[in-house]
Amino acid sequence: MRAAALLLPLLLWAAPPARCLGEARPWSGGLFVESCGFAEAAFLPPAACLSAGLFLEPLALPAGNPAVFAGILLPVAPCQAENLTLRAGLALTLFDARLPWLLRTFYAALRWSPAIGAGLLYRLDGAGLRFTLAASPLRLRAGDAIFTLCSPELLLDQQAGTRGWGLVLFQAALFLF
Amino acid sequence: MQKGMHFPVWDGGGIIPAGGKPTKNMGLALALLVLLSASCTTIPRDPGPERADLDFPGTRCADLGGLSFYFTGDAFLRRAEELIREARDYILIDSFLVNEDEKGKQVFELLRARMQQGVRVYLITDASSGFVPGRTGIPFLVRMGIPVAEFNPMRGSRLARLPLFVYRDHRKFWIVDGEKILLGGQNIWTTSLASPEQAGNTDSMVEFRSAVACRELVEAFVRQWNSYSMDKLHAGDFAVRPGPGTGDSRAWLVHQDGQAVARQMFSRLFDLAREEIWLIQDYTMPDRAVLRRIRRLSEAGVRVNILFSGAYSFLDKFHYATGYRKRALIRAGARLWEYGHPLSHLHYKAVIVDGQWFGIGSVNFNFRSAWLSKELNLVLEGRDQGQPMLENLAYLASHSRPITEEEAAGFRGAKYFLYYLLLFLGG
Repeated sequence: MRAAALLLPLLLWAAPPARCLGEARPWSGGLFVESCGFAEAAFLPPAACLSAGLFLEPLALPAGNPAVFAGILLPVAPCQAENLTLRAGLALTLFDARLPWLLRTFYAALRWSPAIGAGLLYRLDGAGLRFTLAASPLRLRAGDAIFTLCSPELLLDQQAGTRGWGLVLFQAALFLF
Repeated sequence: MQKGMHFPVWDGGGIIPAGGKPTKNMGLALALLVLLSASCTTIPRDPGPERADLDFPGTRCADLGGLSFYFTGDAFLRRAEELIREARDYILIDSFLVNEDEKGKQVFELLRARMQQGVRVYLITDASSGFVPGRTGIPFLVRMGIPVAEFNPMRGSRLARLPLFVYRDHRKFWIVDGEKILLGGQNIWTTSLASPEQAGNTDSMVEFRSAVACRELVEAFVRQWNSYSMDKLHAGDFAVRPGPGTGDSRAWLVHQDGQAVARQMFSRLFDLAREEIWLIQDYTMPDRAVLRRIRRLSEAGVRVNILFSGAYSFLDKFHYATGYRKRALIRAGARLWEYGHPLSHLHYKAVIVDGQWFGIGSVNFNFRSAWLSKELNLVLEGRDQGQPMLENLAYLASHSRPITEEEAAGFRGAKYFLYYLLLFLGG
């Protein structure tokens, strides 16, 4: 398990060949990394977590644009490799809105791109499963990336009962292919 | 200046062995060839090793015409300003580097003025602009309202993509009104656009017209733009006008945009060489395979000349990086030359084969250009098309001196080795 926890991020980080930035076609996916934490001690111990994985955004809809993602989540501070967790789900970009002042701030044509999402967290040691509902109001989209700040999540158990909450402090989703 | 140095003289560009006459065997072979041709007229003729149509790694631009060459920064700047003023519909520019310096601002201000008169302007630049001396031109362009997209940004927010930071867009091309194309080695900054006397690079751009090339470059530009900007473009909105050529131009656009075709271009041109190759390539950093290739060419009687820069300004790291392999190149049979301009860095990237084949553009003769960059070259066949390049080569060669093996042996210290390692990938 520890080896897998090390290997997967390495593969995600090192495997893509340079030519995947050749834009033979519009972007359809990439990798994401995020830092997050949860207030649900029965499922995950209190810790700062890092999550990394792949996402696919096959359509380029101006509104209601769906994406799927899957990756792993690992408590890193303190590090607890035995709590390695699978993270997967669906995110729905509601719309992309032009905010001219963002151009002056970041020198890139960013758009405000809020999203909602649903997903699951599954402990790979079989210790539990939680469903998540997320809202990402502070989400900016550049041509080649999507950045999310302070995205809250609600954690539900299998009976749809609320069990806790989480917060994605920062997520960078970078298009690769 | 080195007197009495060898300078290439081609006599018609045939495949007569250097310094010799056609042998009896060649005469016999020619006679047989004529007979075979006459008896097989219904069978498509094999293009043979001298003809590159079938497997040349580029897009054939049979409609190419209106060739012009610019060999100094000030000459190109004058022409660029002229084109901007004459533009009626749109200007698309892909420039590896853009800087907010004197000449850069001069170009940008003119572009803005034309935008205000209704000309559409879009500019793509590589993120490397932020890693060279001076200020990157991106904030300036944004402040001026000129639409700009940055290729593969190298920022903390993209750190997860760190291994791909090595992949860069090294192309420099301009498309004006869907009919005029300029490509070559000149960026939009004072280092490229100043005259050699003002310490500007010795560099080149070639201007031509070709609907085939234009269409390919417009589509590539729009594709890349849409990948890095949220303000999407449509290729169909950029009309391409017919090329002026008669349909028999021997020209190819070698466009490395996701496929590694730059090394194939060199390989194919080397295949064609019978007498002499000139590589005007200051950033030559050969690996063992290239050295083997040069040795084979030399053993086959092909004179391989490589022209390096003598002045480096802030680019002295390339003096060390390229110096490390100079002795190996000489031992492989290449003849090395150093351009003697005291101020101007030789940034011109060209290959000339037997005075018949000409490659000009952004491609350096090194691993980075072969594998890790987007590149763009124009390859021309025929002395008539490449005559200005031959004349410029004559000028450069007459202002160059040979690099001896003893001198090259002095380029083997740790500093040279470390820069070679560093710039082999990152240069």
